[in-house]
Amino acid sequence: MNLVADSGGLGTLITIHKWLVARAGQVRLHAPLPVVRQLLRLLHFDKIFEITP
Amino acid sequence: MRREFRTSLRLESACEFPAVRAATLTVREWLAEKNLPEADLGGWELALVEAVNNAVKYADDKARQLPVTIDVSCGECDVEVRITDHTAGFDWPDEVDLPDMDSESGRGLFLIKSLTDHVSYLRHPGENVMVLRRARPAAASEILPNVSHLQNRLAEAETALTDMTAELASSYESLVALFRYSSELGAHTDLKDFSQRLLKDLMQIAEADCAVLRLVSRDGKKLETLLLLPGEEKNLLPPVALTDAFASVEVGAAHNRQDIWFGPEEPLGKTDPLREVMPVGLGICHAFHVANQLVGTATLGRRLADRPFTAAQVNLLHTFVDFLAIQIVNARLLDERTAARVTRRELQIAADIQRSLLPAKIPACLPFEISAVCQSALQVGGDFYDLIPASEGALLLVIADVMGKGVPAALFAAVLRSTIRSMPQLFDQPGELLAAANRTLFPDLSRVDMFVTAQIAYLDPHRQKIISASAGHCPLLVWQPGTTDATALGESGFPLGIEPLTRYTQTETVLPANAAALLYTDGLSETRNAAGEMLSEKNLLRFLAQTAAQTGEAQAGKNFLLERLADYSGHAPLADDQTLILIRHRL
Repeated sequence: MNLVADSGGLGTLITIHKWLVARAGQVRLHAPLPVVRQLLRLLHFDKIFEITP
Repeated sequence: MRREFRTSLRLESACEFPAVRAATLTVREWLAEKNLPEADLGGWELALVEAVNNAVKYADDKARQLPVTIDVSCGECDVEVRITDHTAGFDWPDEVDLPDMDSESGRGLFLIKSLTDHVSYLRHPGENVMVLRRARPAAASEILPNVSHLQNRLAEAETALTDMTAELASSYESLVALFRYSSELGAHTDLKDFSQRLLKDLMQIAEADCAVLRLVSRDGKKLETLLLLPGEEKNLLPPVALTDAFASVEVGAAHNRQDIWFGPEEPLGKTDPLREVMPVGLGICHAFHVANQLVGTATLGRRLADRPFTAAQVNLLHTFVDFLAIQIVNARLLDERTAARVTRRELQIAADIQRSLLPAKIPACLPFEISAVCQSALQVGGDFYDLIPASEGALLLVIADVMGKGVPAALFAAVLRSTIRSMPQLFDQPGELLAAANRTLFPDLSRVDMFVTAQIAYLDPHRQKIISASAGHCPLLVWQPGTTDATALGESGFPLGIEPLTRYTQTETVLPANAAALLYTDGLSETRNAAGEMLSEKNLLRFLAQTAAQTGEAQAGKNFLLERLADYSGHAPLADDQTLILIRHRL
């Protein structure tokens, strides 16, 4: 499966993150594809999301 | 300059989000075919999604009717994508920064910029173009199969170019050499020296280790060694007969008029003389001709068999050797011409000597009248005559024919003349005179295997008689008044130079009033008619009788006789000298 994340999808992720933080929750990203992991790092998302290997 | 090979893809996408997704996947697959690594494919996919999304995002209703065009160009070093849309477009920000961490949008341009090496956005009324470029990380040769193919071809072309350069260089060398040799053409250079220099140059340019040059012998029956390089051990290579084509590659090449190669697969025959002097890995033998005539053979050899002569080197062998053949033939012609010139000069000298021996004027010997002539044929012979005044008004007549032609014959004629003139005490005894002359001349004549025939006659005006003796010469012919035929008189002894001590019988004949006598050389009696028949002594006797009957003065008689001879021969050019002395008793 070709899973790709674009800026729109990442924006959605931020929306979800904010919604969850407001409800004492959090977003945890499990085993993203290397491309996505690279992208998350590029956008500094690794500082706000917990990314597990 | 290096040309870059690029491949390109153009596709049009409807201006809506689902179509964008399909278009980017198509581009991704196309780039995958170009061997872009996975990381790059993902990067390009995302950058394209962001860029095309932008185009869709800013499209109004009218712009959505028009497609978004994606042009992808893939080169050896980079990939470039142009996205053309027909939207109102947007202002490219001065700084493309990340928005605040919790901002839900505004990351698209940042991503595009981050994923590419170069981004430009060209905004025009009704059309905007975003240009994205990113370097390719992989080795260029792995990216495009046809590029590697082209590189192979380039390498081949470079190899060919190197070969051509080498060949050109060798052609240049050979041209320079040939020009140098051309300047020697016509000059009388030493053939062997010339050939040696030419062969050495050929060996160097054709990268040969040894060479043999053979020329056809003068009799045309064998090949003789002119040169053996390196070294000069000519004795090691005896001549080879041209009869057996299988005896040696040289004879084979000469017979077949074809180059013969020898090497590991086609070794030299066991009896081939080249085996001894050319312990080589491989070689080629070329026979050379001028005007369809075999001139000789040239053989080049290499110590190692791993590298045969190239076509260019074989051409070189042909060119050099053909050039040499011309020089050889030229040299031979020059020699022949020189020899012919020497012969002509020698004949001229001989003719001069012969003329100088003849008496300038005819001495008087009344009541006898004398007329004499020495007509030279084309080739100067050894005929001469002499008329020497003797005591008491007598006259010594000498006619002789020295065997042989040219200067030696003329010299002996001169010696004979002096010898006879040095013995006036013997003039009235021609037999004794011949014997004495023979004794004097014998050592010189026998040493060179030459001889002289001579007839000597002592003409005594007081007693009106003639005393003659012959040394192997034509007899004295006499016509007596009142007879119809002339007669040949006297016996003949050996020619001068045959026997050291020999005697000559002398004959005494009365020459009454109106009588005629003839001393002559065999050029007269051997005059041939058109049928090839010789005149013979018998017919000459008849001619003499006719002459005596029809003429009076000796001069007129001589002319009459010469005319009869010319008539007999059909006025053909003289085949031999014609010398005669005609004596007429005039009252």
